[in-house]
Amino acid sequence: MNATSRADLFPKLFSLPYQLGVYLAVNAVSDAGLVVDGGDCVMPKADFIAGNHDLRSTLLSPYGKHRIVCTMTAPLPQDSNHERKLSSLLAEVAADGGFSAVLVTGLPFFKLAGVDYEGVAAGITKGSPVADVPALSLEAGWLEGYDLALEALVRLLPAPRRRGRRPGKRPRVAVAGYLFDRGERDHTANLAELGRLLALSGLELVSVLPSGVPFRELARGLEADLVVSLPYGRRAAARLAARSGAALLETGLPMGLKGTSAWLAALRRAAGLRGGLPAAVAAEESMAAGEMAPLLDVLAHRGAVFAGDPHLFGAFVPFAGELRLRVPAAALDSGVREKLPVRPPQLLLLRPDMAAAAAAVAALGGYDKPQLLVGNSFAATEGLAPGLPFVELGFPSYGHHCLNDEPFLGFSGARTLAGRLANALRSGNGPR
Amino acid sequence: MESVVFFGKGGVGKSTIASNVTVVLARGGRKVLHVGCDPKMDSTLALMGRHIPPYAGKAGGGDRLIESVFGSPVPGVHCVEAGGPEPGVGCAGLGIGIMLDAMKDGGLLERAGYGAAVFDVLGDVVCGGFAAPLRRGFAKKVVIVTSETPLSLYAANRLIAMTGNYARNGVYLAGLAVNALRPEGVKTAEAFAAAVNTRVLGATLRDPAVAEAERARLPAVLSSPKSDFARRLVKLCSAIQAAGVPSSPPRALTEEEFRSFIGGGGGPAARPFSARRGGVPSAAAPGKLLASAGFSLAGIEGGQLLFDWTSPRGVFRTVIAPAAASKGGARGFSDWTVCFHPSAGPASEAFGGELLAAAGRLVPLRFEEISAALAAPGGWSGPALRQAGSPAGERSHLGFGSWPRFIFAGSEVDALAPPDSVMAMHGDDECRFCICEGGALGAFSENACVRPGGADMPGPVLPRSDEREPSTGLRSIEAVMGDDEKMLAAMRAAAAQAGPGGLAEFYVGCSPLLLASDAGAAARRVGAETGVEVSLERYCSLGRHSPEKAERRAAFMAGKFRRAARSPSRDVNLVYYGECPPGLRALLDSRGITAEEPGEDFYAGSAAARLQVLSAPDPVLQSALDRAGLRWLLPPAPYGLAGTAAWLEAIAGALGRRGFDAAPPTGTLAAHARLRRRAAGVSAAFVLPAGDAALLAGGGAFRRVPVPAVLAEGGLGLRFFVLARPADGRKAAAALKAALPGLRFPAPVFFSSPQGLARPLKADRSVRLVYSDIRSDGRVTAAGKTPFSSGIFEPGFDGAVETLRRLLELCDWDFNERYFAR
Ligand code: SF4
Repeated sequence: MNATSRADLFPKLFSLPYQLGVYLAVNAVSDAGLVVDGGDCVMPKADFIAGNHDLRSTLLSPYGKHRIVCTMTAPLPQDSNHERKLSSLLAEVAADGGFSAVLVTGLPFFKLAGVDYEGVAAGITKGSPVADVPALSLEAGWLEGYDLALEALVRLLPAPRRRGRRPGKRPRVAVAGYLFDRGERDHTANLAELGRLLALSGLELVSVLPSGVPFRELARGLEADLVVSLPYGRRAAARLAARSGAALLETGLPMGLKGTSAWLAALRRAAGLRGGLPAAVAAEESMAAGEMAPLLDVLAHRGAVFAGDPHLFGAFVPFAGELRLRVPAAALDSGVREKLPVRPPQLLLLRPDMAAAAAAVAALGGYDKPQLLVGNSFAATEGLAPGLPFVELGFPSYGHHCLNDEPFLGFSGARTLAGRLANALRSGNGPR
Repeated sequence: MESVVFFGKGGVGKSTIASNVTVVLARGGRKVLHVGCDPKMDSTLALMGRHIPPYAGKAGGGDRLIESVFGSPVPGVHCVEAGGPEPGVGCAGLGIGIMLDAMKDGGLLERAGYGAAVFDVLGDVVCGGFAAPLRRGFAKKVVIVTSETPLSLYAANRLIAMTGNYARNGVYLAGLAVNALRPEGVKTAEAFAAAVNTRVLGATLRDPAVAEAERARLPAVLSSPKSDFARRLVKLCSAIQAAGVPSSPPRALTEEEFRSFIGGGGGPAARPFSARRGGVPSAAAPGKLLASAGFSLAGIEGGQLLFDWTSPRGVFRTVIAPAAASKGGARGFSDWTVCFHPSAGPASEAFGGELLAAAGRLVPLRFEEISAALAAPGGWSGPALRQAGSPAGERSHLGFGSWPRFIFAGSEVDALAPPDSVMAMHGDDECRFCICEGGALGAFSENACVRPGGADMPGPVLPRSDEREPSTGLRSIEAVMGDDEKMLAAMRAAAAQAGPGGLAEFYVGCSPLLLASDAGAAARRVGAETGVEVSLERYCSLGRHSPEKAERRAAFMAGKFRRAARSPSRDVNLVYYGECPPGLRALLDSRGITAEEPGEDFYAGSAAARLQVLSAPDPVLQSALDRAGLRWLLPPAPYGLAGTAAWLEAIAGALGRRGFDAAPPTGTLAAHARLRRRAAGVSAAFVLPAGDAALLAGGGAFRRVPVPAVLAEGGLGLRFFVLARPADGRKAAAALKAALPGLRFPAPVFFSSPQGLARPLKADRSVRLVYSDIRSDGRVTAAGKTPFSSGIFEPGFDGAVETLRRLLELCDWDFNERYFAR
């Protein structure tokens, strides 16, 4: 039996589990805790984030104050009343005071056993607030886990204060459902860029859910007049808006020059501001375009294989078009819930078997042959397009860390990302 | 909105009551959704006049659910069935939960403007899945349907306990709906209600009108509106609607109390049972019939009745079960079956004919009547009711405030999977990600140590990293509808990959374990098809050896070694030496010992050498080598100058080389000595709890590198910081000495709490390095010291020099002292 048929028999799927999304959400709220009902087999999942993808993660602590703890339980021996034990552990965690909010979820076998996490969480009334994240590992993937964990956090936010009218003041905007997968300076720079661009557009960014800040600071989102729902947290955003009574606007990611301008314009309209974008925004856009222009010939008519999450893909394709970069093939690590880009690539694989995906990419020939690989770490380590220059983007990024500002959203992000793409093509850095 | 959940033992008339209540509610002007949560899928039969396709765990949430909601011919009534797998496969409870999730997500009840919802839920199996309507917050009002029979009351009692568990969600028991076999049975049920502190909301009796309605697939309140049943049902419905939260909650009887209630026996009788004397119905006829046929009740097991059957040849334990729940091998009579209980032993088989003849005398009795006989005075002989499961011992939860070790224990011996064996894991996607490489702490990782340069550890790869450990990725649809096909496919694939005579291990994960997936049957089938024995293992025992597994693996490896046998062309084969063989092979080569190059075929590589040099104890491999007649050696680890010389000597000795020179080259000695001089005055520290002293001796700690010895050889001082109570200090100091014979070091520094470590660590200015398997350990950097681990130690003579150079570079590095010392 040769290696190919072996892989055929047990395909290694390009997919990430539900709980990894939950962990990412907890990672993104600096003082949130998560109790996972299950054995210590749940702990290595934290290592897919902490210390590998996110060098600033505080999910695990050498002092033992991990923000993810497990209940050390297995299906056997059966417990006469597992929920009672879980309740007392949760009560202990909630009372500890180390966490401002506590989430609880469980391994699939506990879902099969019918453990009532919602009820157990609701029964904890003292100490930090506790909410359940439904145990949906058997039916959903990491993006749902992320969204549902954020939604659970929104449920726990204190009751909103009445939003007073503020005549003459800038409308306040909360962005909800941002994938803050690490505290490094790609994301902090993204958030700074969004705040800056919103300010230029006559809006005030009061909160980004999540953004690495402590749980209580997320309550500022309830003061917003407009909640902007990003695709990673549709449910969370909807709940935030429902709780505060704010207007809700669903958008994609503000990536690329045109994409960012369109995004800002949509926000202004939804916030009730009249007129087009202020001249300062247009000037920023032009300036970025001017800086990018000399590099664009490097990218023109080249092809990139994308591998990563569908929301990033949805934003990347129009941006690539702006750069005249083709995207002939894509492998996505999750099912698509949002609309696909207007012109999807000719090869689009959802949660594919990585070996099969690599073979399909290798089969792209002629003018469709890609010259660049853009995607997460697994795209490289699984040999999706061996030998191609690689731009590591999205979760996880184990190879590329950001000690300096490296946004990929907004105008600054467009500049930075275009630079990374062109530099990779120029230097020809193949994947490891 | 009126929302009621009906629970009750199967066959008690629950669906009949629930569907008729639905009709009465609809007649009252409400739009009613009737939700069937019974895998039999017949809850809505009378309302629809036909079977409707169930939801059955469809993916797609709310939209797909709407497709499964059907309008009933009864005005104002809509119906949906959760559906479920065939009996004995999959998980019906999960299917119900998934349907209700979809219902909740889509806001079906609100969006469609229902004024009432009636949930009809099977209650024999009180698993959490069947409690989904309560958990999902669909209904707070619970009605338990019961008859007067002990089995039905027993189920009701358990359901009361279940309802109590959900009181935190605002769930309450409205009361009992009694569907009695006989009029006097109502009294039994009333007595039970009093005993558990609830009320009887209403009672219906056996009525031919109901049987007729069922035949016509109509609700009886519509087909026979003037019948006694219809009249009682309407009253029951009013009582249900009027029922509010009881002033004091019901309390389920303990097993003993229940026995006492049913049988009139002694028991502790925590509460008085007013009905015991007058209320127990007479079931003399069935009881007499049972007794005359030689059957006396011995207990209830899993909803089945256990009888001791007295025959002329002796007394045998037998099982009488409802036909629907009977197991293979049982013979059917009426609506029940009979067979010997497994405990009756093989001797019973000879008397099968006599048992059938005796059971034949009970043909006039239906199962309900047999079970009703249990309530006859004196009919209950006090058997113990089995309790499922056993209480789990208290287990600590990982990491919550605990103090992570600086030195990970590692494992004493390797339990590596034999090369060319196949291991398949039947688990879900979470299981697939239960292994990672590297990480912030490395505490949960396979590769804890930091390798210099970092380039060889770019980060985790997409699991399963090892093709020989694939995962099946169980999904919810398989959990609901059964995973037999998936298991079979995976096992067939594993067997095909292993090939004839191969070793295929199939690890059953937690979810399939909970689903009671029959991996054994699948393995037998695949074995018959392919001739490959697929051995079944319990979840996550990949890295552990049971005696049986060790034996199987050793036999497999021995066979492979034997088949690969040829005349050896090399002196040694380095087994499981990881990434370091190039240097070691060159070293051996320089001393005239030839080493096999690592190749694709592990077994052929072994056969090519006269001596197998192991890097770590591995009982399975050792046993396999012994069986195949291959010589092996487990020499000291080749680290440091002395360690490497000892390694060489051991190998040369095993090869019978006389006068072998194992000394380091003089240039290497000189380089080492130069570095050693630089090490004067600096120390490396170890932090450990008192009980961990033995780790320092080696075993699985330090990845088997003799770290303290190599440090001492390099001229670094050794310091020990021990977490111990003052009273344990002397013992701990002695344990350190015992673990490190021949090494000199000052008395350990004791500290009494993890918080108390920083001060003494910081205070010892000679300490530059602190051992930690945790990457950039914050406890070390906060003291201004530099963490190091066995990952920077290189094997061989050149490696010894390089190791010392790295250690000294770290000693000179003041980054942490300058920027992080607190
Ligand atoms: S312990 Fe159970 S849940 Fe955890 S990885 Fe193993 S099989 Fe999966």
